[in-house]
Amino acid sequence: MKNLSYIKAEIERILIKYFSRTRSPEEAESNINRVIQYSKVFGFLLSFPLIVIAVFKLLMILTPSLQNGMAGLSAGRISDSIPESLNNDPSRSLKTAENRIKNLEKAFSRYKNSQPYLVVNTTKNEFILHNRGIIVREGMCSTGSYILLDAGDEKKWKFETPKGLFRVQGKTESPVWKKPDWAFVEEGLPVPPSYSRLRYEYGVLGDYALSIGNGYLIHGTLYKRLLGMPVTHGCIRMDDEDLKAVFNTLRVGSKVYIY
Amino acid sequence: MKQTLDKIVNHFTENMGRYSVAYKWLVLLLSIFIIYYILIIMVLPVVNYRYIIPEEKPGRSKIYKHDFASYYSVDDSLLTESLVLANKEAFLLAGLEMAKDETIGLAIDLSDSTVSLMIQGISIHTSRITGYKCSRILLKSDPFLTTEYFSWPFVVKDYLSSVPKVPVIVKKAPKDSIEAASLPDPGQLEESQLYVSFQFKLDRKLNLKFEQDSISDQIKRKSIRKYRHQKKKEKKKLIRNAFIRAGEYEYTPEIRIKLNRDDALILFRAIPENAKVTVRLNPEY
Repeated sequence: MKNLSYIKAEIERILIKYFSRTRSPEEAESNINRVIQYSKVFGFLLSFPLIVIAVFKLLMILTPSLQNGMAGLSAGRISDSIPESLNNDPSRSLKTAENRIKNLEKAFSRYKNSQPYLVVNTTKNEFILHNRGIIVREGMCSTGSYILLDAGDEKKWKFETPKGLFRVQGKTESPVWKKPDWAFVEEGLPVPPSYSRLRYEYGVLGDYALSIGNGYLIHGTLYKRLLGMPVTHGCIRMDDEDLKAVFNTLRVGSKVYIY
Repeated sequence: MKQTLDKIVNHFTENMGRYSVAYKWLVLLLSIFIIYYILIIMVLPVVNYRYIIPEEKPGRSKIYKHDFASYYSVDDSLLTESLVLANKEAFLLAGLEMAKDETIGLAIDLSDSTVSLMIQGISIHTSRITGYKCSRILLKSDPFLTTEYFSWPFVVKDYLSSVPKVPVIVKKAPKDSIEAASLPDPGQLEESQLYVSFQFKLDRKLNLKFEQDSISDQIKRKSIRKYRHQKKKEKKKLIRNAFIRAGEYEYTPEIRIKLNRDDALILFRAIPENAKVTVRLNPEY
């Protein structure tokens, strides 16, 4: 309170000093009074919205930590529960729990894959080839570029490698690429009929190709310097040696995990 | 203008007494509002918070006996041992349920400090958690009920992120081969400057927040601000709704996880819509 009156007096002193410099004493005093009156009124009018805003902001900031703090209060209230058997026969109860866990682990191990499978990471453009539970090869690959090719007339193609679990549906040596429509659209060429010879290109997919469904292939590439980058139209491109290892390890029906 | 101002000021000066009373009322109303806010946003939702155990969970109501007194009659070491086992069992149960799906799921093991992408029980990518924080309610609640809560997978219902889920680049098809040759390569989205943080809103009232563990100079502050602004907007919306429909506001506990930037991005991009999530809390936390 003492400080407040000191500040008030100090402001008054500064105002008097300022107004006395330029005007007559009477005029200066009247101006000072007006300034004081104005500041009182507008201070009064502005203080409430300012308080409201400050309170809102403070509540918003404090909400998560206060809610977290409140959690301690409710902890005891959430219905308390305990395995019934733990009270009656504790050692037996623990043994039963251990047995249940063993059974669950057994059930879980059925999912473990001893068969060969391939894992492809589309964010890092890397692959890992597994066989009999161990990693047999890992390296770089290229996956979908995420380019959306817009040809107007509602014709759009998104070059994205699908994610999830796939199975090898077919294996081909010396594959021939049958160019889809987008390959012509992308190059600004007229799209030939589906039986046209123009659609077939030889040697661009490398020595092997593994189909994983919906037209997506794991194949080789002529653009080896782009391996490790997302540049394909959705297929998975690999280096010749890596592709050979994948082709020889995976069988039709083998799993391919893409994420 | 000056006259109008003078008029207003004079009016207020003359009626200052009356306005002071009104002011006091407003302050009183504000105080009531603060108390109301604290009650409906901070206290009641937390106190009324209940774990949602899904109907389809087998043995849902049979596993545990609800008996407050017996809780304290068990030896401490036995209780701890039993809890560790219950925790492990819950994680395995949820994992088995998640393994039935052929889609990518997320297994978060806070005991092991790992987050794994799983498909049909196979871990296809594992990342190390560099730091985490759980809402207190998950740690302070009845531990056996908490394990039951986590013994069934959650489902991702919505997300909020600082990076695009699918980094699409639109390319107009060229009219002819001459235009195709002259078109520049659209390249890739420059993402190294983006701050990676995302939030999965799960069913059964739980939020998972992931963020990169360190912010390098490369990261654009703008991307951080944009994401924070998004989160703030969301929070404001929640609170506004809480006022409009008092009592409908639901408290949602959260688990905040810090990961290496690359891992965070991999996880975010890999998780599909309606993905399943399993969580194992650290019983020693």
